[in-house]
Amino acid sequence: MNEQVTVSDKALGYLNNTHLWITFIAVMGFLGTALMLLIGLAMLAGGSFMPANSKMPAMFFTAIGVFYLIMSIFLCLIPGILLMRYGSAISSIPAAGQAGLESAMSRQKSFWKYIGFYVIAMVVFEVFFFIVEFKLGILR
Amino acid sequence: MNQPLVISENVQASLKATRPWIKFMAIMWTVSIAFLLIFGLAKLAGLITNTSETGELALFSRIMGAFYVAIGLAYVMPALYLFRYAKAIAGMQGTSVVASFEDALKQQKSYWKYYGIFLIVVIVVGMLVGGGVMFVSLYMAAHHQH
Repeated sequence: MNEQVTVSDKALGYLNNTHLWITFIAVMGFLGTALMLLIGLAMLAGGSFMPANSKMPAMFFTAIGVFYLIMSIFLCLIPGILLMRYGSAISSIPAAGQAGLESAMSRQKSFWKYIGFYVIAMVVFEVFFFIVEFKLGILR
Repeated sequence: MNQPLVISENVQASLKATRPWIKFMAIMWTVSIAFLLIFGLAKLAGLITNTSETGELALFSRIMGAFYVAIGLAYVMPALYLFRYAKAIAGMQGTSVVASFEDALKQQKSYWKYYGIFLIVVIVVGMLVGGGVMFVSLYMAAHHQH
């Protein structure tokens, strides 16, 4: 591109409005992380206090607890951090100028790439889980 | 900010690299909508029922069906915004770079705004339902004691 194309005020306005919402969603992501960590730790504690002759195996609580701990990182924490980084890049545009805009666009790409990989991983995981359940005869 | 901001090659390259992921996510939203609507409508019509589900349980199953349909319909707009966002990025060529860039950022803003409002609604409804369940449980426990 030889000719430089200037970013309009309208486009900058849209970016500023986006900043408010992604900051809010990132904060919700961090709160979600804290909540999931608490639930995960409570499940782990519940599993360790389970009597040996209980109908519900302690292993079940431990597995759910570990699942919550892992999901708190991949579902809430990492997207929250990526969104926050995108938001801070947008807010840096008035001071950083062109570098801020380029950083914002690059960071939003990182966010969507992560979400794409996450969704693919979840779909693969669910298909695998479905097959395992089917093989074990739980669905019968 | 002294220098005017430009839609540089770096900016365009980042957006173009984002496009496949945006499109993929829009397709995933659409697949979710299809599943939710099919499953929800089937539950609502009583096509998916357990033989043990009678009376209140059958009613609860239909309420869940309506819930799935509502969630499916709520997912339509995010999918639409992402499709429009991907389309606007694809249109960033030649003389339409400024207009397409503006449109891309507009669709992206709309997506996040909708997502934020949806999140607020989910939190408020979750709190109301959670509070309601707690209130009914306490009431029933107190009622049971007398």
